[in-house]
Amino acid sequence: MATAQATHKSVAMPTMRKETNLWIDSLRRLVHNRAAVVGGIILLALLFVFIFADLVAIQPYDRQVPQDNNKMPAWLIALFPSTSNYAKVTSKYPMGADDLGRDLWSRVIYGTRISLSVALVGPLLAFLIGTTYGLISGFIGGRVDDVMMRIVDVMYAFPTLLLIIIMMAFFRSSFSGIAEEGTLAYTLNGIDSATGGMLFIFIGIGLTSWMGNARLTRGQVLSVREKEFVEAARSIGSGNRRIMFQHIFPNIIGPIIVYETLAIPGYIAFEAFLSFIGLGVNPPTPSWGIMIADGARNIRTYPHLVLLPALALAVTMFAFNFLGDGMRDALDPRMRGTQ
Amino acid sequence: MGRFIVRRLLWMFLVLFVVSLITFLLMHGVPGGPFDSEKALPAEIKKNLEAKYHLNEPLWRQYLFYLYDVTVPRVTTEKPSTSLLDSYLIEAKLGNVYFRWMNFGPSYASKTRTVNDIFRDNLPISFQLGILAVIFALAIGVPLGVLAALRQNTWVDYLTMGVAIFGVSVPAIVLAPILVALFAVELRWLPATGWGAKPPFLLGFIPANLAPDFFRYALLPAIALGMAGSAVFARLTRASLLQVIREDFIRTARAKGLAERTVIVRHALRNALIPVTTIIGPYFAAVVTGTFVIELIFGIPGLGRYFVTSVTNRDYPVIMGTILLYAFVLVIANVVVDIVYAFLDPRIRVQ
Repeated sequence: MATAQATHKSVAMPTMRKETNLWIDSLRRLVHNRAAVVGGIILLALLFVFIFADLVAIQPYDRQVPQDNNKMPAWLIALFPSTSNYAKVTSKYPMGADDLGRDLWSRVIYGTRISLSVALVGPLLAFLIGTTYGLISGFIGGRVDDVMMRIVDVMYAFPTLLLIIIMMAFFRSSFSGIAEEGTLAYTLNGIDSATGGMLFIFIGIGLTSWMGNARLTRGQVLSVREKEFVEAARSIGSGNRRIMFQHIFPNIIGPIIVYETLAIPGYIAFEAFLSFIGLGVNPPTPSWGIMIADGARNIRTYPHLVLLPALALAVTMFAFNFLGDGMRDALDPRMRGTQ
Repeated sequence: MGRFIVRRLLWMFLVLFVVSLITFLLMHGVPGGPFDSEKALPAEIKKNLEAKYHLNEPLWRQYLFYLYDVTVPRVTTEKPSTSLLDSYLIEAKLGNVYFRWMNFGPSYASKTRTVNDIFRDNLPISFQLGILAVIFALAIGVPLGVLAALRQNTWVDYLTMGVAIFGVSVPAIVLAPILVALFAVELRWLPATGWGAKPPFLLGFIPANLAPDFFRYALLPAIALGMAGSAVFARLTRASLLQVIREDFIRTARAKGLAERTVIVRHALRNALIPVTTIIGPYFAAVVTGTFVIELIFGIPGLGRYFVTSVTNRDYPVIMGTILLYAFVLVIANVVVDIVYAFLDPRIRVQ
């Protein structure tokens, strides 16, 4: 990909048409990949649910009817025969109510909003931090590059999960008690509670997941920056910034997109895990992770309370994996089947 | 080679030092202390408690105390008294000299246990679970990957890789409840929670009686933990084997008239498994952190539960001890993989 473009640039052909061809080619390969298309369709459906959750859900996710707790619809009782001895039947809720009498269907639907926003913001943050870091490190090179990459090495050795647990404890308890308006901590805490606890999750993910992208970007920069088209740009007097963003960046973006797409299921699982252990979103925000944790406590009596959100989580990750695999094969056929 | 290993080990100590420093600063940056409870303690008692654990000293002194306790061995000639503040992970008697090393401190949250006790009793259980999961992942993943590569573009290949994507997509917090609901709650074949081995352990980590009961408890958690890994191994083995069987030396081996079996096992597989060994290091890291989720769901008394509880309790020595231990395991895994890799691939040894 990079070499093809390099030769075109060096003989000064109009580059715009070639560049669109690369993307159109990729798109055509993607559409021919059945698994990727299935993944894409599922994601479109999820996106629809994400936007129109208020219409798809039958009631707000936090409406509680205590006397309806653990009631199940008939089809679920048929599916889990052992519950027939004690479960109360209802037809009010399509998937039954949870242990606090909240509609499970509505909560699963609103859970899409949590997981998909992580799927959008997680890669974006990792991309912003990691790619900038990798670009600078690879482009400057020398001593600076050495130091910057050693920092990445140390961060890699740090157990990410533990770092994020301490960080979440740090954010939650140092910012939550602050009442003075106008301070940064107060503002952050305000945004965090307004988003149901999502802000700190985003910060946590951003701070712990940029390293892979930084390494990848740096490697790509190193492989591209000695190419003829960079030399050509330099010889006609382009500045560093222009070379970095106009010449190098477009040539290395493909693998980075693929890397981040394939990382999305990881971010989704990360949020679910944090909510699962109680350091993620604030209840009653309906994260699938929290619902799995709540359901797991009653797994012997009401297994559907944990299985349905778990299924939603698995399907979402499934779709992203399919699409990511397809995008990797489409954008760079040489990488097919690796990883 | 010797210099390479020494360099890696020095790097490891540097990493552990940085990790300990960051953790120390972060955990003391979290507001609140270990002795803040719902019902406030009388001021004098709290002051005495803090003095006992050196919490009234400046931070840099506390950190140096900690480093000193963990790294500097104590050698005495008279029999040392043991207390919660004075318990060492390694205690040995050499002639008439008592040698003691690595004091990770007491647990503030418990009145009777030290961090070393947690390492002795709970760590082996996590370790058993992790080992079983790695064995499961390798035993399922590598053969499936080989099969898929040898039958490339047939239904065997498509089915295996489809299952592998499924395995990658289903995180432990999803797979574990599904397994419990199916095999423990509905079918009642296996227990839903618990662990089939208790301390003391042989050699520090092997269960004393490897009865079938141990595996009855271990089967579901090990599968839940190892599934994602088996999928990763299957995909990697397939990709790497596909690359190798197109190499010239495989054609040479076939041209010599070697049996297909010999060509695959002796020539292709040996080379194809090199990339697989390199990801065992990072994979081990994933298993190590994954044990933590699995232990919560299956109620296994391993090290996992101490992470969240120690952070919420501000139990400083337990936070430091567990994080340093996990970082140590991760770094050692990477060093071992680097060394194994250098042995497997002569081209790297030269560099």
